[in-house]
Amino acid sequence: MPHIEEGVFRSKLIDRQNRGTAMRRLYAASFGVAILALVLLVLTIVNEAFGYVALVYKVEPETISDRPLAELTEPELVALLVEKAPGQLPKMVSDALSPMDLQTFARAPLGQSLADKQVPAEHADKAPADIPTGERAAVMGQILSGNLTQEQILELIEAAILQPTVSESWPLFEGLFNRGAIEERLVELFPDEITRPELRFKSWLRLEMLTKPMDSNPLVSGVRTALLGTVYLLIIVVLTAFPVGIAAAIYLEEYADPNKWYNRIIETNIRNLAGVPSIIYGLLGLQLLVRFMGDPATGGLGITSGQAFGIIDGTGRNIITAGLTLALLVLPVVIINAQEAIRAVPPSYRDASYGLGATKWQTIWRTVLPSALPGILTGIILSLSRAVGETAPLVVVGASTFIVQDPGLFTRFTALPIQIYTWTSRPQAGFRELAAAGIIVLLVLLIAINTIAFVLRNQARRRLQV
Amino acid sequence: MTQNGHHPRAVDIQNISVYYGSYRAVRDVSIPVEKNKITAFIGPSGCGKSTVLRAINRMNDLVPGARVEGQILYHGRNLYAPDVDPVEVRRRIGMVFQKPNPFPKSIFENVAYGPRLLGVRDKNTLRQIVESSLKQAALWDEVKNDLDKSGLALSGGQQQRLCIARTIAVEPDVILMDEPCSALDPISTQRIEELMQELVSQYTIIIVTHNMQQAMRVSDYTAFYSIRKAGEGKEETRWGELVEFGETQQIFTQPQEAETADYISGRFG
Amino acid sequence: MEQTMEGTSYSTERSRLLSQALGKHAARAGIGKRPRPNERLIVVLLFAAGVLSIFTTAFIVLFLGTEAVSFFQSRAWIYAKMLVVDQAAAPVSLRGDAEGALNSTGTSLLLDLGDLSRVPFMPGALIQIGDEIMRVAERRERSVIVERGYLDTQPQPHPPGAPILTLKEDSVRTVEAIKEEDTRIVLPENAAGVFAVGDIIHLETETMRIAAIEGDTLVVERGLENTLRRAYPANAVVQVERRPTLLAYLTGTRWQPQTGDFGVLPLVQSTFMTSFIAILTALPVGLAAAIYLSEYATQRVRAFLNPLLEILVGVPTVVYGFFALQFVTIGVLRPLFGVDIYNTLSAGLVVGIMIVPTIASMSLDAMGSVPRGLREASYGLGATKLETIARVVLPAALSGIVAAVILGISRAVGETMIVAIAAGAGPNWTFPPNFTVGAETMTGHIARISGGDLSYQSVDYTSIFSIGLTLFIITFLLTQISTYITRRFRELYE
Repeated sequence: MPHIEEGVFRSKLIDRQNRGTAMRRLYAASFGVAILALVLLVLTIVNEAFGYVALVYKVEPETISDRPLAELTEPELVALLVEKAPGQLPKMVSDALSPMDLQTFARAPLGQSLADKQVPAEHADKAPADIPTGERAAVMGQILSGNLTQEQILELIEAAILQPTVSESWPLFEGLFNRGAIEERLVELFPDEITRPELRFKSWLRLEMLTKPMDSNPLVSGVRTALLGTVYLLIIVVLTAFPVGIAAAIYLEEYADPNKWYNRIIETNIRNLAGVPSIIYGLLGLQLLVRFMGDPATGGLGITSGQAFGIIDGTGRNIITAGLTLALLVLPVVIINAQEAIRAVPPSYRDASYGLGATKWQTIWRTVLPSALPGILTGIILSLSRAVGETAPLVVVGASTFIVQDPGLFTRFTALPIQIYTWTSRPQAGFRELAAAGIIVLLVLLIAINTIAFVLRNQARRRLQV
Repeated sequence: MTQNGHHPRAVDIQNISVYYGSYRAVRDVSIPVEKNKITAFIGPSGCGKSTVLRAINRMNDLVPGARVEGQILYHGRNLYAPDVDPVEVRRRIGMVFQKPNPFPKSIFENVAYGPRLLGVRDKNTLRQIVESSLKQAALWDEVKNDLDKSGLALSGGQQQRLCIARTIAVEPDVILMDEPCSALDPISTQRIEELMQELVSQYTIIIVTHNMQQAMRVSDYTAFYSIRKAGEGKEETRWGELVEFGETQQIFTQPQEAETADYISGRFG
Repeated sequence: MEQTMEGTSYSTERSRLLSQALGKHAARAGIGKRPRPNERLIVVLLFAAGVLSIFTTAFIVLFLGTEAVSFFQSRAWIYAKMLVVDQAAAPVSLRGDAEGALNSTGTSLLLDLGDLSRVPFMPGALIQIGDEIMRVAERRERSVIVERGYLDTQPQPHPPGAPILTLKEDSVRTVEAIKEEDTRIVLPENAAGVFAVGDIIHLETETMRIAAIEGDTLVVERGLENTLRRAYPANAVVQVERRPTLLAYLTGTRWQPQTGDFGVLPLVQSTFMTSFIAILTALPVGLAAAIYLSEYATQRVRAFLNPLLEILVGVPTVVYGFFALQFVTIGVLRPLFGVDIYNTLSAGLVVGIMIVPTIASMSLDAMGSVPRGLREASYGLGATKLETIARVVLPAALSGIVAAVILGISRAVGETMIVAIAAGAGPNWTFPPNFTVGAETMTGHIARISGGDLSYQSVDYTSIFSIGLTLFIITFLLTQISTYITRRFRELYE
């Protein structure tokens, strides 16, 4: 029998254990990688969403006023507006103060279109179109100064007269830690000191983003239309995928005889569908919903494009087809999660219900589903989060990249992730930053959905337990 | 076997066999169950007493592949006739299970579950039914202030009485109890036993129990089941059979079969 | 007895309440069957919901299949091209001294640039000296490196000072006007070589078939496919039909369906390049994470780390794409390695981060189902924890881990937005694979091409479906293999 000298054995053991400790650290470090990736991701987004810009004005502020604009009084500012941009004034009033669109506004009496606003009494019964062209701007200016603050009017002047554009932009950290290089670059770009723009801090993430439509100028572009698109898509997914998904899960768990071939096929099929790349769903939506059920002009049925409902110019590339495509996409996830939740309901609940003379459906509706609800909700959170971030199928079914009007059911549409994608791939200064700001909006929306669902789930769980 | 001519039979089990797939779990059981009496099923584990019990309100229908041969008469009608609706059967032949299984709902909703199934919507009626059921199940005084609390928050014994209250809320004819006290402490067991004694004036009760003392204490009639074997090695099959049925008094003092005598005196494996 | 009386009254009271509330229905008689049409209807509806998924699959397969078939029936009309001498090119010749002479094997051409300051040929350009055609491989200061004997010409020696002609591709044009009844098309010298008997050609919109080639003249059948026979002036452009064949599709290395290049390989190649990088990133990280979670982490650490993986799953892929482009490419890889702005390396790395949770959770499952007994046996023999993991747990869980990797590849192959943003905007076949340049993947290509109003009849439309079918088959096979391995693995231990 070989004899191991104790000293040798011990030192080997220490070696072995040291190696173990080292590897353990290495394993733990894998999470370091994951955390690092997340931190870098967040920093990248923050870095781009805030930063420094050099603005170039179409009309330099110095040329329209001797004093800095910010020091001017409200009437002086309005006078500037009336002088420099008389034609745009009705639109400004309509956008800022009236719920109506511009055309309706032009024909409605001011007292009606600006019902709860300050309107000069002598003009209250006139529509803007009725006021003689010469006086119209002055009247509009009067209304503006009566209803807006100095700051708001300043913004209007900036948008209408000065029309700043981003000449160059720098991310946050570069601006903070490498200011000198930026200044040098500015000098290089604008050798003439007089026209050289000043470096300004700019938060691309602005609260007005939520209410402003898209614009080709990144300085003023918002995400309103995209956000609405995303919200509509979610509503369609919730209304279609969830009832169908839960129904399918109930069928598979409660009614289907697993020995029947067709039930086995359904089951396997759902699992396979969960692994199909999302872009394939896009192709499905494009062919089935957009082409075959869409525009009759290209051989479709006119259902999803709205001709069947009296819409004339629908193309089928709209919220409905995109929403249904997303619904098909998340359906397997919803079904699989709901199945697991239903399976987890203790059989004793079912026994008790049957023992009281409940029918199968009564048992499911009154006992099984309420008990499975927290689990089902968890699945719904998962699939909603997925639907919010999905981009590829929307691109394929034909989301538009530039939408100014609020989307309707049958109009062209866009969605937040589509917007982020488009902005990311645009070379002009400012859009990359806008994409980062859009990402923050998207992430906040995701967090909000998760929080709501989390609260709902906990409530449901508490109701079951206490 | 003793037959009491004064009481009509509530349930008459006639020569039934229960199959799971092709496996015949219980063979040829016949038991006349008297109205407003407590009948106990006893016997070793695996002898099929619970299977027969679940056959009476057709709970076995819920097990895929389960099948019953023979007939069980209920007020003269065969429960396994093709035109019989198992849902209606279970409403008239209620069941209390081995482990207390209140729904994850409030106490009130637990008891109101059955009446709601039947279609009772009036709040006031429901309240009256819940109250009378809980009173009859001797639980009212303990929970009357906490009707909105979850049924799961009660103690085990209370939960089982809640389950009994839930069962009687739909006014069944027969109550099946599948080892209702096996998960309970002795004091809770005693309360359930007292409750059974009170309920039997209104309902016919059939109870499966492991506990011979319990059968002796509460039941009027006792059915003793045992396991039979045939074949060797892999060929071996086991099934349950009724050995003896009679008045409890007689089964425990003068069993007709040697096997019964062995079992009740504890000499049975 | 008093209690019993009370019980009786409760019971009667309840019977009364029930029959009052429900009418005769509550009466004790009648256990007969009741029709429950609602329940029937509900079951039918539930079944329909279950069957819907079958339709989803059926439609996916049907549409990908039919459009892929019409892709293979589609045709592209491309300009027939021939090589001609570029008259506009600057005159260049071999150097006039003895060193300028070129034997039949040399590949370095010393040039007399005349008054030019730089070599006028780009790499890839074709040049001609005497009868020999060469392809420029590399451009030096006053010389070029060439591949000799191009396009079936014979390498031969050339004297010093020999003039070098620059060649360019030009469309084949008819030499003579063609009348309505003509069946002969006269082409410029040497142009007939690009055609073969049986080729379908177009003059404007008229379809013709080449019946014979006689020297520089094509003999054609005219007005095929109900096209109109017309007269054409001289100098009409000849177009030739290209159809995708399965062979060309699966082996071609150029993808440009509008111009008759139907090889899907560049897209498949870059798909697997990004997936390869992704797996290379995700496997070590995901596996190490799984080992840590399964063997070391305490309950509290797990409660912190599991949500971390969930967050990684929850980040939308378009955000990952932004990260890949803005941080990984512009922030790190470009300054360090000078990669192109679009490259498969960056996209692959970030796809890898995305699939870490997939690999981690599946490996975790696999390690979790290794029986305790095996571990205990190892500990019982005096093995340390690391030794137990490395020699017992990992080998036992191997097939589960393999299944995780395969599923991870399938995810990576199907991922769209990261590669659409960061990997590149054009098919690019590189051999050997070059990870630092842009190359469009299958998914990225579908996303780019479909991002506009496609005509349903165009070759673009049908081509994205045929790529979709290819993608579907690849991911389907990968998931099936993964499922199969997982099932076999489970059977092993259960």
